[in-house]
Amino acid sequence: MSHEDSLRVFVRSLLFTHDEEREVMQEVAVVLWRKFDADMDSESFCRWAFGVARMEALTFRRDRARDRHMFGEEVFELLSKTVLEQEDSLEAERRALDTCLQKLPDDQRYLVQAAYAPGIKIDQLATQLGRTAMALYKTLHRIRLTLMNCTQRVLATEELT
Amino acid sequence: MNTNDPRFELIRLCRDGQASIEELAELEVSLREDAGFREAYVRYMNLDVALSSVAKVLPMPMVTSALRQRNRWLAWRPLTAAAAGIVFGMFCTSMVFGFVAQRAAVKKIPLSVFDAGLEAVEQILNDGLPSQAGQWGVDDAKVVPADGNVTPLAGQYMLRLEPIPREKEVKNHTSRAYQVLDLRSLPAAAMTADAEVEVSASFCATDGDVSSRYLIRAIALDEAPAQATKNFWSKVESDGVVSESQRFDTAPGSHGWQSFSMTLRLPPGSKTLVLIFGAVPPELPSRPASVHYLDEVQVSLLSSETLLP
Repeated sequence: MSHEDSLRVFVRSLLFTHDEEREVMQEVAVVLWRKFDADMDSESFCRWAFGVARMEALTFRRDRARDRHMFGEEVFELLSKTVLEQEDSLEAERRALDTCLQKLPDDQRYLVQAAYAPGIKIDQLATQLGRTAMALYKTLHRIRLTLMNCTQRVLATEELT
Repeated sequence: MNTNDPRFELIRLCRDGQASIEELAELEVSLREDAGFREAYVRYMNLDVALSSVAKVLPMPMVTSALRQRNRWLAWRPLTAAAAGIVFGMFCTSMVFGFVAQRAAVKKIPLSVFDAGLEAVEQILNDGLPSQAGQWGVDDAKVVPADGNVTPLAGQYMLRLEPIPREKEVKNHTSRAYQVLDLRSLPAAAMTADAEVEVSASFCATDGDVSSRYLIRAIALDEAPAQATKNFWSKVESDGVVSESQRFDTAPGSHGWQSFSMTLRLPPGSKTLVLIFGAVPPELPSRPASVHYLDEVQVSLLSSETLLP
């Protein structure tokens, strides 16, 4: 997994919506470009980038988010540790996701593509589909769990072959 | 953490921006105190991020019309089903209820597994997948008594699976044990269309402080064991073979024996069942690869009770 992917998962785990994640990732990218030190080794870069991401997420939640809830220091540390320790495993799951998406029934695959399309709002999509937003959120959650189980099965098969 | 865990709903609420302050606080406590939950949360977010990337590279499908059509059908489906049920029920109520009752009553028949408790210390372990029933096969393992601080789950012995370190350049780092079951002696009536096999096994690691990953795979083939195990690995990739795999991750701090099970839909006509059990070394290069143990393997056939003698 590239550091960018890890960083994105880390930021996503600290925030509560995709829009928040996108905005914070943009800010993080700007800071990383501006202050990048070419002498840094991979490990130092990673530690620094996670620190920047954490500060940007903190600033965003403090200034912009409605509820302003932010995880405490300990949870920040534990999440970044988990993401970095699981890098290979998370990358493998992302790879297996392609196979699993192909296994989804057509209507579920289309729904995922529609719901995750850039700029889409679930409320609008729900209206278009004649469903409530809540029903759509729950359906997408069930699909995600199905995909999580599927990626486990695909990887288990690979690891036992 | 199993995806049936109700705390996944808490993750969803937070992910969808619908969580209350109390729920966010509850999430934070779980993230702080439960390593298994934390891993599940990160995996969920990983999938969420991956799905946004996938959607970016795929053209926007003609979803709306396809889904709308589907949705209309779904909206009508309960009414249609109810109406059909009433009409159908007028003609054959007892048959409908009979069918439901039959599906609900499932009989569990234990299948004979060679040395299921790994007690035969003198046995010859086959190198890799055995070609017949009645033998254990292993990559690198041996039957041992109590070993260090690990004691067998039951009986006097267990199987010690030697680790394959991450740094070793091999295709697969999973340390495996295999068994082939001959299903030909099963009564034909037991092999109903809805028959399933349930495979369970217990695993233990010397280092319970780090998470461990265990795997169980069951593969059903319609050939006799001797034939089924020839060119086995190329065969399992073909569409005609029914196979199910499951990974089981333990949370750091899970000491002692851990039991896992999985099921496989058994197609009628299956003659051979191949079972593979595996342990994967942790991803932390800083930790020495842990030794894992296997014990108490059980296989049962789950079939409709009414169709069995």
